[in-house]
Amino acid sequence: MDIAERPYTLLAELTYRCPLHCPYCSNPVRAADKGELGSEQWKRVIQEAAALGVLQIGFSGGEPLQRKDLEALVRVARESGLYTNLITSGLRLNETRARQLAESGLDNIQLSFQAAGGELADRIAGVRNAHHQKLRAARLIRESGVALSLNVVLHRFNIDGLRQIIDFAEELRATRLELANTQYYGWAFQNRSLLIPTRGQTEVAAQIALAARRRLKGVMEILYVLPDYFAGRPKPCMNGWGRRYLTVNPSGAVLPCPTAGEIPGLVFDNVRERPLAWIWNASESFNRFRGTEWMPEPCRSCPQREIDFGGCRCQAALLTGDPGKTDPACELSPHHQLVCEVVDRGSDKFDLSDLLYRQNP
Amino acid sequence: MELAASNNRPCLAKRVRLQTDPISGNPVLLLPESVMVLNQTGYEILRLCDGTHTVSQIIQDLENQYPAAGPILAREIFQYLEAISQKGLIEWT
Repeated sequence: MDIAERPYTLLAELTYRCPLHCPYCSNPVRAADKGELGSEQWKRVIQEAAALGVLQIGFSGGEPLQRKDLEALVRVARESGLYTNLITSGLRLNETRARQLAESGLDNIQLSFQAAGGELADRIAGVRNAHHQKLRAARLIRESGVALSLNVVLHRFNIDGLRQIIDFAEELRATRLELANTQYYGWAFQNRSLLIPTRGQTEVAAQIALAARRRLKGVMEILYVLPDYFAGRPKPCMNGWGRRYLTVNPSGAVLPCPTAGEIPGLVFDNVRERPLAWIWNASESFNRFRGTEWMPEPCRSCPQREIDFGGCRCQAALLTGDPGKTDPACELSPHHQLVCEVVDRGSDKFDLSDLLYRQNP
Repeated sequence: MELAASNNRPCLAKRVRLQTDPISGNPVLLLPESVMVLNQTGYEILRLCDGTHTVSQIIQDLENQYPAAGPILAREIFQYLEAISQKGLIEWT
């Protein structure tokens, strides 16, 4: 068995509830309803994470603002020495909460947008007036003094507007813009054939992002990664299973990544029953894909094996039925055809109205 | 190199936090999505990026701390500040 390194980052998924219905959401389509962890349980998780070596916490979901104890949890995280980041849609953020979050010591807010223009943005989010509320949230965040970064998930229906998205982020004075190509898990996997852009679209987008990154150096950090379906090689998912990163989901299950709960045949331990340190170090699920021993060929003898770690276990499970296989996003995978078929089928004949919108739990 | 001019005052960006890692004792720079483990010199420079010290004062301070380093130290500090600035991790006043 490999010896566990220490984790750096905890993603605290406080709830799966969300006011938006984005069809690219990576939340599970059917979440097991065990109820959400309470405040005291979360406080213990945060303190245990800090003791385990975690340096940063991301509050996520669903929409973490749905929880009234968010401010209290941010405070506990800061008192435990953690860097705190709130990942939010911005809906239901008001002046009082923005101020209280700042006073609790929140370091950064990552606000999501669906597009640069309100009409398209609201159609993607599936909520009327959502974009307008987000603009208001951006203003409240700036006034609160907390650093603002933007996240826009890219797909067929908004990627052609990338130039406008970058201008928009500049206007909002964001310090960082994450252009996140859709990852096909959860709801997004259900909508994969509709959301996936064409190869031409992703190539143009990459050039626009690169030019903007040069132009805005030192002003706004721009993150754009070529999507793994198009890249030929897999993403270094989570920088390795159980290596630097852990997720605690709303019901307290501890996962190596937010979507791992969907992998058939793996049992994830819960903070209601076990200390976080035990789960990280000793649990079967966290050790299952640590290191390189578990790897099949072509990963096992690949010079990239400790760079991309064989790609994503969730994606291997989703596409081949076996999480222990090489990620089919890799062109060396014997199952790479499963990815190529989806990419090659991409065309413009689809419409937004064909999408399956996320339902709330 | 205009920003790292001698009289300018660098300040850590709002989204950045400099602290000591309680487990390793190493200085670290914390960002929304990453952790930068710093060497001692990097830490000594960034510690002084508080919006009150000028680049000249930072150089002076480090020269006092490392008298054996010689003139190469100033150039290294300029380069370091320029690189960190390009990443948007410090602002200038």
